[in-house]
Amino acid sequence: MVRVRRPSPQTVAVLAALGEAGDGWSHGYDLCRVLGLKAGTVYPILIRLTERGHVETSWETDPPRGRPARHLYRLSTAGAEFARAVTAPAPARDGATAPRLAPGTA
Amino acid sequence: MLAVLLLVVLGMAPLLALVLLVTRLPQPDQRPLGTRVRAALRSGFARPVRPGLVALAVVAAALTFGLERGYLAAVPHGSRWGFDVALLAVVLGPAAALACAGLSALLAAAVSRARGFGAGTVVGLLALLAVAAGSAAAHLPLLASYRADPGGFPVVPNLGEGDLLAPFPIFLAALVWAAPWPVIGAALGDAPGSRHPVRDGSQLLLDLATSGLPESRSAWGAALRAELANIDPPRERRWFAVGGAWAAIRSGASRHAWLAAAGVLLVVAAASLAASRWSLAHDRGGVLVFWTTVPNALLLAVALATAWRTRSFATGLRAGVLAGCAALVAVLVVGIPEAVVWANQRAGYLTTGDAVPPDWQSAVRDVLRPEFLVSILVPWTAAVASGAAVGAALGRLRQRVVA
Repeated sequence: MVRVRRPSPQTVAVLAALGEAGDGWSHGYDLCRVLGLKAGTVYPILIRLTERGHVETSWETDPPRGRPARHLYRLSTAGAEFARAVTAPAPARDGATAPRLAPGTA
Repeated sequence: MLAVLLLVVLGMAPLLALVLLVTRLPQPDQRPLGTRVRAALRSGFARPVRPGLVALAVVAAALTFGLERGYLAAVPHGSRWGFDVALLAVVLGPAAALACAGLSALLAAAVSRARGFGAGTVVGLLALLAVAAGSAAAHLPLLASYRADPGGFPVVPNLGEGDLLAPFPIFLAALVWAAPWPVIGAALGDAPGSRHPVRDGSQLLLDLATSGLPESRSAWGAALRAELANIDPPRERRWFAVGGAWAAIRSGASRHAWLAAAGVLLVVAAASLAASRWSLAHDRGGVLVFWTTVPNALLLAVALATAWRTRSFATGLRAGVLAGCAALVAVLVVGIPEAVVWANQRAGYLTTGDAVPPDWQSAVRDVLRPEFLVSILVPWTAAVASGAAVGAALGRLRQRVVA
């Protein structure tokens, strides 16, 4: 049986945030702000998820004048399934709770 | 033979700088060379560079002043601490010059991103001059008072008469060795297609951190920079830029880098063992010279090959540093038991082959002396940086040729 390593709480949080956006695109900075995580945490997670095919990326097609096009992110079909699997509340066992971001992990 | 190897490794940076100057200066516009040099000087001196250079000279002077006082206070107590303070200070001179080379290359890269190769080179060279001027301004009065009354200064057995302050002129002389790095930094930082004014320090930091990413990650660098351009509050910009720079800098060491580091560990360990046993059998003194020269070639090769493959200076540097850490582990893993073997055979200290250690503990402590470790790490660092720079330049040249 292949053992799948459970993603870190930060990765779960990114997956949950992208899952909430559904088909809509998200910006990296907005994810950082919403999750209270630094770019140094969020971007490596986005890179990993993209390389594994869980996240789709695109560039803004119509950026505001004078600003460069921003990179956009959303879950792929496989990513949405993965996000549902890892963000689903685990069955209660010996008082265990769902993963949470520890204070100061940002 | 070993000296030739060291010269070849250390000669790479000046050679690359020369090639860059020869190939960059006649291009890309048709203005006369003199006009372009004057324009580069003007641009290189323009604000905020001038006050920055003055600040750099003042910091260099203050640091030299403080370090000289610290050195004079510490140098008589070296034997009590188990290492030679004077020798450590002598080898820290080239180490400090290496740090200045890195700083000047960084400044040159930062300025060249906004103002071009010529201005970046000028700023990097001026930064080195500012450091030299500040350091000399602090050192010369002390040197004059030492020359006038050497009796008022401590006497150090390992340094000849009148040489007590030698580490500081050695640092100033070693700064010449840093001279190619502003040229290399300016060439690495200059991206003629994407030259743009720098809005603030946050943008500069993120630009520099993401400019050396390998091709497979360059889109992510662009994504971070575009995101920063859309953030306005300065505090938020700093917060995002620092996080983004950190993400770019630690952007995963590839499997190649780990494999290369493992290979370096094995080769350096085997070669160190062979060198130690050969020296022991032929009574050829210690292996310190071997450690300061032979692994250089390996580290240079790793950094060069990685940077050439990825066309990224930062990736080559990271792979080289990882390989350097592996080489240091190999040196210690082999050096410590070998030092005991040398001590048991009363053959002298493993590093230099002179004197017979009184016990095996002294023999082991000798391998770990900070002055020897620094003297090993300085040429290794130079080899890694040179390899990464040459590899990135050759990789980009190959890309241009293929395109």
